[in-house]
Amino acid sequence: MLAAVMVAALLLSGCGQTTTSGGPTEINMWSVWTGTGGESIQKMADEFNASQDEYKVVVTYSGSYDETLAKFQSSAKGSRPDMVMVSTESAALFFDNPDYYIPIDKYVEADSYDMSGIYTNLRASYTDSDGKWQCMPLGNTVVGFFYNNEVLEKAGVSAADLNSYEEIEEACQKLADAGVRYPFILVSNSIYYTFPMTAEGIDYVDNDNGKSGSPTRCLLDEEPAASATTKYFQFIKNLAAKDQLAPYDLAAADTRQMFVNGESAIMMATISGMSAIGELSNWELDFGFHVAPTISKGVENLGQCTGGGVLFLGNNGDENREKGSWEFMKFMMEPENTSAFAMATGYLPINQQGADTAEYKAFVEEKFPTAKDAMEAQMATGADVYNAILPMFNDFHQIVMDYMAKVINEPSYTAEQATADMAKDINECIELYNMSK
Amino acid sequence: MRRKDWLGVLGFIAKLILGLLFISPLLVGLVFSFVPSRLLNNLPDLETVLGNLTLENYKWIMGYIPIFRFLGNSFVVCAVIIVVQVILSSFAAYAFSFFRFRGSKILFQIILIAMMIPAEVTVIANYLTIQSMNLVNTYAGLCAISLLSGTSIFMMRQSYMQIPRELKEASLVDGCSDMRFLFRIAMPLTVPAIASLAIFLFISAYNMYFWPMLVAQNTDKQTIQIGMAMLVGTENVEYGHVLAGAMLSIVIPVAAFIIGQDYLIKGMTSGAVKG
Repeated sequence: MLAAVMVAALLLSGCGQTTTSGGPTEINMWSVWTGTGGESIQKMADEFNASQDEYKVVVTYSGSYDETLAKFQSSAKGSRPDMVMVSTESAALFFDNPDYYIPIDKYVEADSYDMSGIYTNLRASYTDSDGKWQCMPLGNTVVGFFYNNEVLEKAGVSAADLNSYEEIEEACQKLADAGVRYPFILVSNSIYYTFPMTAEGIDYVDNDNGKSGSPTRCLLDEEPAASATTKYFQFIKNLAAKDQLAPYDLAAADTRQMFVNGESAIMMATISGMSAIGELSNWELDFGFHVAPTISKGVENLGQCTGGGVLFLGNNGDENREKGSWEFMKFMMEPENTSAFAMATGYLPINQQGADTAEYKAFVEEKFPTAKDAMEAQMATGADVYNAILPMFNDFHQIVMDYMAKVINEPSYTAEQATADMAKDINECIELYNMSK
Repeated sequence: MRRKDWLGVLGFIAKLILGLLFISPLLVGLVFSFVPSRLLNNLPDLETVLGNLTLENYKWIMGYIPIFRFLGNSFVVCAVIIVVQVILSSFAAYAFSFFRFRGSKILFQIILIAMMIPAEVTVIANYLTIQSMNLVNTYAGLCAISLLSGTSIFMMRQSYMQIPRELKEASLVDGCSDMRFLFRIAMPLTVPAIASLAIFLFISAYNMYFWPMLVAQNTDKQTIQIGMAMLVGTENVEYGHVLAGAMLSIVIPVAAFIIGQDYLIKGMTSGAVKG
């Protein structure tokens, strides 16, 4: 019996290898997308496969961003996928490990492919200091807040006036006075701290915010980052003390429900939550989106850096599969495809041509007119506005979230102390990362 | 009705209520799996539920993921793991129970220590090994790390320890070899322990998520737990889809539990009292 099992195992072991002899070259793409976004990507792959017979793109669900990253990092050259989806933040880890991927610039140059339609803020995040494209932007999202128009109007608050956290704090008092249970929702996420910092043009790590090299220290213990960070901590501390902040540890899905139910009026989020909120309310809720505020009142908002995920070419040493992957990337960047993915996911199109398609224009006009403001803000964003490029992002992210929780939960813990402690912890994490290289 | 009968009826009603209470999440999930997702974002009232029953969630799942392929893969993985692990752990447990050899205690203690190492610690090292053996994306790779475990050796050893040594000695006198004793006498006598071990193994193998996620790199080899993760939308959760998927995915475990529940309970208590 044992022998039979062993024989079966040996036979089974041969069942998984991909053979491509005679047929199109198989291109394996690891995708984190499920739901409507996953369907949209599968549709693009099906259409691409039907449009030619040289390559066949196989989309495989590879888990969450973190799971996919762990899996990719454990994979040896040759076992890697031809294309892999990575979160915007984790892209920095790839930039710091050039062996992981082939920069798409190789093919952009070879094909003289026009990438000029891609939004400037995406270019800022995904090109190196020489302006060479490293990866393909897949999703495009900006940080900001959703607001419930009806609730704001009742309280006499205008969303257009909420351009900083300081102004939001004043508005929250009016909303609380008008009987809104939780005027402000802040999900546990570091981006609601880092994006407004970037909007003010404040670097929080050295080496040009990580662009010209892996960071060696954080700048939170010096000006202007220290004051801005302290102000941010004080803002959430004040709201928590006045019971105007929704429970901090709620899942994003729960906060959306709270927002749709009118229990809250202002919810920090990325614009990609637009479809989810719309669907939750059957597109009956009168809501809008305002791009990331600055922290301090009266300072210039320099623009919106991006999030939303990217697609890397895995370095497998197989030029034919690289070419096939690049062909699929070009297909995905066709305007009708970028707009279709945006409509399916709630993200913004990655290029102006996608935003200009009749379908997308009609979608925005009908369902979410304020998406236009977000796109205009993107267009106005300069190439020097990008989130810090942090290869140790996961640790950084966790540290920021821990201190956000601490200032909310510990009344005696001051914002100044949190800033100083956080600077120390982030410096330690940067040092550890650099030692591990 | 006599007092004793009344007490019996009351006891039955109490047990029925308690049983319904325990199973209620499953029943609610089953009913809601027939309700469109858009109605599940807030708790719907009974009238809404009854007026909107549909098979749409199930139809959507069939079109979106190859759920029967995933179930089939999970079944194959579970079957291989159970059969191989029961046999290999029986061999090891038999040696620890019936053979006297130098270092057996230390060796057994090492096995017990191995039981205490969390799987998360070894998963990447195991993956690198599987990768170097070219078993990524194969059933063998999916099963490989679960073909033997300290827990199963421990469980089988505990049950073999309860077999009287006199039985082994009498068999030897009659000319019975160790292999024959193991397969013809020891294993048949410990069927409840083997069955409960099989059920434990089934539960853990069926619920594996991260390992299949690492090893199965295309849809053909992915298992039901990965399929379930695919039903949770990246940006928005469609509860109807998730519940329908959950109902389909629990059919095999529930059937396994119903078939083996007596053995599972016996197995859970078999090591509780020193024999």
